[in-house]
Amino acid sequence: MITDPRIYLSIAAVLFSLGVYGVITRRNAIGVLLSVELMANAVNLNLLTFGRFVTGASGQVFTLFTIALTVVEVVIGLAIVVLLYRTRSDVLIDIASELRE
Amino acid sequence: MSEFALLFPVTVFLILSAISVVTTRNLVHSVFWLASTLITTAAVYVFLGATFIAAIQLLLYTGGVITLMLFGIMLSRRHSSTTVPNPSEHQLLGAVTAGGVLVLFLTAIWRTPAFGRVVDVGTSLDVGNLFLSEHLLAFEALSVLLLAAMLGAIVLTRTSDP
Amino acid sequence: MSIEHLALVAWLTPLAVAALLLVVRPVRHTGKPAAALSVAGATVSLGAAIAALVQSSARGGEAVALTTPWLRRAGEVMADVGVYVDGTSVTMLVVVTTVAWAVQVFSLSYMSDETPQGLGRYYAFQSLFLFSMTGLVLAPNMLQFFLAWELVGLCSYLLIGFWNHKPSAAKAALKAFWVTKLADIGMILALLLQFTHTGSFGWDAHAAELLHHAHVTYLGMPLVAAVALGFFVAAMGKSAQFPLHIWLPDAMEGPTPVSALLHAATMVAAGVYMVVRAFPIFEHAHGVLLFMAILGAFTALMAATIAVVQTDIKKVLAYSTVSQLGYMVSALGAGSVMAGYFHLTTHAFFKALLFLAAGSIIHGVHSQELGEMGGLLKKMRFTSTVFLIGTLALAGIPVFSGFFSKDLILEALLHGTHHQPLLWLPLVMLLAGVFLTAFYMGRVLFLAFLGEPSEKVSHAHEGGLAMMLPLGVLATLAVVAGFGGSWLSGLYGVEPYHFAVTPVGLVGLTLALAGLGTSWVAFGRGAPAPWLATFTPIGDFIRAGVVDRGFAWGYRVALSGLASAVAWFDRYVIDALVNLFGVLALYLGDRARTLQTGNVGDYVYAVIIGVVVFAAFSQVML
Repeated sequence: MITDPRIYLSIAAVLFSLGVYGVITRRNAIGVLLSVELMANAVNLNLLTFGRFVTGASGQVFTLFTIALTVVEVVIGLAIVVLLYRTRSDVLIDIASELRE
Repeated sequence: MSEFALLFPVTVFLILSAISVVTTRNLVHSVFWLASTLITTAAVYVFLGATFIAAIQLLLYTGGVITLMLFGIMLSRRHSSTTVPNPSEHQLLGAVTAGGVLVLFLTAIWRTPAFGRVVDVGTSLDVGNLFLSEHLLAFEALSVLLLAAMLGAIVLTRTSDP
Repeated sequence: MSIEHLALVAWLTPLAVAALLLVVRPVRHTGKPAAALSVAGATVSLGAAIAALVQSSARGGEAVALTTPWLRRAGEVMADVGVYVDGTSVTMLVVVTTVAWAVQVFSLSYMSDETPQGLGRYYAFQSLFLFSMTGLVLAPNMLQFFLAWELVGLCSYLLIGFWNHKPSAAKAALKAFWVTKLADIGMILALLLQFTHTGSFGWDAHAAELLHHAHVTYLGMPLVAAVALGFFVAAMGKSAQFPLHIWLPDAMEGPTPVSALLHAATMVAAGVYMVVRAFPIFEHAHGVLLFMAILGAFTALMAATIAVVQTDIKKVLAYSTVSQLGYMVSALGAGSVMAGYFHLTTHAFFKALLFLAAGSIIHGVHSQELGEMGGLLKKMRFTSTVFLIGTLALAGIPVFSGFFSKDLILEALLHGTHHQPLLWLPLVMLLAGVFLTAFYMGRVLFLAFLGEPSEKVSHAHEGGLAMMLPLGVLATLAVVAGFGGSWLSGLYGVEPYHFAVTPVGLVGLTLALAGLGTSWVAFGRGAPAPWLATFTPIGDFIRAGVVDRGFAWGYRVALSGLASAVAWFDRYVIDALVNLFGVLALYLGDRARTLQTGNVGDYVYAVIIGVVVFAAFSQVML
């Protein structure tokens, strides 16, 4: 039995860093969204790890919360992507820069 | 030790899948690699005793989110082919930043002395009880949030007045 | 019912009526029924007060209280609220409820020309005032007293400005409010000082001992003197002592019954009542007492001189009130609670009587100017009789109540000179005041009632029963109240009072008779005698209103000077600072806007940098 939470935390850290890499490098909006999912997954893993080793069942409760939040994020994110495509005929994130000063 | 022996290959596959998600040039492949990552993570959840969450992960993520992603991809391109470009840029900057984050996190994790002990994570019954007792407010707020997201998605994407 | 429950009834019945009338608009707008309700409330209050007085008198004025803790602070109680009934408060309660009842009944007729809405509003304020004033009288400590004190101040403001469509009334209401609030700062400071150093809002001998033994000084005064001075400053405002008396004559803009109740009999006496209640504290502050004696006497004399030249009947009575309040304050300053309080009681009755009689005249003649009256004796016999009673009481003619209380004041000051020779000064001023009082009251009496009826007077007639009944009651009390002295002294718990003929009393009586005689010579034919013209310059000087002008000058010079200094500071220092921040924000914003590239990738990178900084920070800190 694995009794050291740091092993799981390290796996989560690797996943999170890969998510960071993806978020920075991807130019396709959906690609960015996928990377964000990776990061969210790493967070879930962390929560479950702390649930396993420290708090018990509430770790799972919080994981469920974040899963639901991630679903919400994906729904809105994809809606924006579809909208972007409809107005710009493309989904590369650097074409949408109207927010510049 | 035997558990560790099982976890190790799972972890290797998990990380390889995740690397593929962020490096593959075809977006559709990228999504399938994400599905692979999520399924493998569910396997890690089983190691953590969270079988219920593992099941949810399979159902919601790999069942729902991945399907949604594919829909999103299909809805946002001109040509009907399975090859969707997923370009990258600034790879060096990304690698340096991500590497920095990883080093920082790993340092933080391994500087911390070993802590905690394996505790009873409970069953799905406990999770449900917690949801409807201690975290009831958050639960309700979440349901409102989901409703808002649903409405938001509809409002954002509808073409014109029917 | 026991005494304290009767007092509670006397206190809270007007509150119920006031709340009903103030909150429920339809009831208030009924007019006459609302007035009847208010009068009924006042009657209940009066009945309860009299019953309480009878019971308390049977028990020798023994103190009883019914209080509940209020304002808990960390488990400790800051103060109690409720009713505290002893010989002092129960007699004052009866005085207040009697006059209030008389005034409310009188108003039924006097205010009958008002619209139903106006009448309802008037009686709502009247009930509110009765509640506030009884709460003040029955207060168990200084805190409840202060709250009630502010409440009566509010009622005063509301009732002076009752005819708020008249600019002069609105201005007078504001003036009264501001002047008394200015004085109340003294009370707030005194309360804070007392509570900080003793942790109590009490005003009994125990609280006074605590104050006396606190080894603290303020502005070179021991604590107890500072507290007493603060209280007295508030009393100067409320009881219209020089130089804060300026609001009271203006307050005559209110309806005459209001002047009778608030600005003659009860509210203005609240300051005197406070000194009576808190006298254990004042006893330790000899300097403040001497100051009170001299200031009161000066006020009495000065106001009397002004009253001599007023042509408005209400203004004469107003200055007379200022003057008589000066007598009370001076008596208290000489150390005689009994004298000050006795005069408060008798004055409440005969001055309310005089005001209501003046109201009756104004109601009949539709004018307040003495010059337009004359010959009223033939038209308004009843009013003339009660006005005469009031005049004789105020002038201090034997048998009438004012004689006894004024005599006691003079004796108290004379007694005080044995250990404080400086008290001779106020005594002389008060004796001069006695002459002037008799003189100006004789003037009003002769000018208004004797001589030939003018055009306006020829249509005058008596008011109805609603006017005559209160006048009769008050006239009776103005006659008999003077004989209650020894009984009252028993209730107050001071050394027994017995009337005795003394030299100083004879001097006072002689001066009063001389004053009446002089005014008979001057105005006996219902018009000023020709030789009075030689005194015109003096009259003009008095009429010029030195104090009011002083305030106006001070206001113009000191306040506007200060205001322009503040304005300069505001414009060139504060505004400059504000502008500096504005310019700075503009500049920084101009710089910061370039950060907004609009590129999603940049924003994401910024978020990640934020996460890294946060994580690194936590590592450094741990």
